[in-house]
Amino acid sequence: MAIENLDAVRLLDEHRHDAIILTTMSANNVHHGLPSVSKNEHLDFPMGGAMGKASSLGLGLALAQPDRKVMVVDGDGSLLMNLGSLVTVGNKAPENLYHFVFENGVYAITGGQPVPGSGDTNFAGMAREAGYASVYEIDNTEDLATSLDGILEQKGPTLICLKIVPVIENTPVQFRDRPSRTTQIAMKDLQGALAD
Amino acid sequence: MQQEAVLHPASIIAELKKNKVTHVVWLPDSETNFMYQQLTEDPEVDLVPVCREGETMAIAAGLWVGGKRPVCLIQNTGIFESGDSIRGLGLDVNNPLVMLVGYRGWDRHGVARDSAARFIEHILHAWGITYYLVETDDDANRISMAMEEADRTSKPVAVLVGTEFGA
Amino acid sequence: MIPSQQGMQLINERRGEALVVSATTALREWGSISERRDLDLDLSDCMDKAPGVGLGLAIAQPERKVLVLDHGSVLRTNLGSLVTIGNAAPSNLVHFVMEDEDHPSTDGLPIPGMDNINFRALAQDGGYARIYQFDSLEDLMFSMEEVMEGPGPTFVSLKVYHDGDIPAYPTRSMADSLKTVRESLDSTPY
Repeated sequence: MAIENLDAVRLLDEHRHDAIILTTMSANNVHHGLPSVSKNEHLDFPMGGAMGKASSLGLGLALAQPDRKVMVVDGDGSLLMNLGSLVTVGNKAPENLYHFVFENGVYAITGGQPVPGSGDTNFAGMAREAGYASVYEIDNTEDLATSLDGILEQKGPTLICLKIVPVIENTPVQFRDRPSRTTQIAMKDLQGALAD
Repeated sequence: MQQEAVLHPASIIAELKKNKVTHVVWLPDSETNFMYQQLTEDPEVDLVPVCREGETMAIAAGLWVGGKRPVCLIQNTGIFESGDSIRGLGLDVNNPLVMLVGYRGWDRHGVARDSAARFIEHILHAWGITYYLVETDDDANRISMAMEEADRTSKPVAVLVGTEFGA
Repeated sequence: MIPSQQGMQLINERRGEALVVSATTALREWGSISERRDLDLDLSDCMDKAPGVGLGLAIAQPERKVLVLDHGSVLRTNLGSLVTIGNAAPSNLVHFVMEDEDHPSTDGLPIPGMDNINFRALAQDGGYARIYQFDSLEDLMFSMEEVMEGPGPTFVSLKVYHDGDIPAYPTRSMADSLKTVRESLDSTPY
């Protein structure tokens, strides 16, 4: 069982209330990621580049905005690049940080090569040992839809590992569709929204 | 949208075999994905996948000391992330390591807008690492030149794979 | 807790012809204890990369044991290596990790979150074949044969304290140690 990428980002957007959502890689795809469905664009942080650093950036945001929930939507290949960030987050323990991992088992945006340990790595277990307050593993759309509110009501840091159907992309980078908003513009919008 | 293939995986893999490369230590990227299928199916070359690019130089150093002939295969963005490993486990230990580097953002005909492309050659210059550009099958023998130079100088040498490839 | 230098002594007695990659505090202690420096790689630089160098060696020399003498303070900055090794699954690799509470690697400065990291569980979740933890020298001594002989990759957490002054880093350079081991292995592949 697994969740469609588009269904996952749509559900996250529907249940976010006024949370900031920081997306990277598949969750940030212009065709099937959050930018394609978001109804709260001013509170989105679409993160292009700096692969692996979404969790670190989310930690900074969560510390800066303690009264607002921050949802980081990471990838499995991305989190593998920055596994130490689980310990960094566990150590600072921001109660408002919700760290989603889209576990699709592959580097979807570079052609679908399997990530090391694909299917065998226990991200939820690692996060628990690193000091996250709670961890979840969800592999179907219905469970995600029914449990999201409860998860977001609890104190973080929380890791939610979602089994996602990979959507593989293999167009050379320079020929891909660009997001309608650049990262710089999105950051400016977000700063503006948070200052209001 | 995709342009006609001008660099084929077989050309690069033939070069690796000609130079008796035993292991490709890599983190996948879009620019070199076209080699993935053939490399995984090839019994003569072992793939060692990693989680983070800086690991590749360390694993390659171990393979080299243990008597094998590895190359690294990462993207230019990974070179930026791997700085300390290139210094410590490449340059400082005289490791004759050839790094095949996916040249994200490279475009022979236009202006490089991607900062990953704009910075990479400057960074290699700063380290004193020579590099060869491979864009087409005709350039593939530059991999042999890089291998020869790495052996002769006992230093890392880069091969920038800058191509708008097809299947 | 295991007196660290006595722990190293035990590993030295049981290593046989194993290659040993060591870093940071473990290197300082190992360098003065090892009797087979011709088979030791000293990672006096890039110290969080000992697992990677060990993995490369283990793949290149499948008939030989490879021991990594690592330290929690640096494994912390390269946790992905646990997944990389779990995925590559070299059966001849034994990864020892010294965990101390006096933090000599940072001159006693506490490392954020260090005491909360359960490396054993991370290695398990990363795909290591066998996991051990020892906090007494006697237990380590008792299990050492099993640790060394069983199929890896094997992860061994050693809870240590530092018995006496920690020796200085070896005088030979990292490059020299790599050269020496290459010569010992007669590594002339191409």
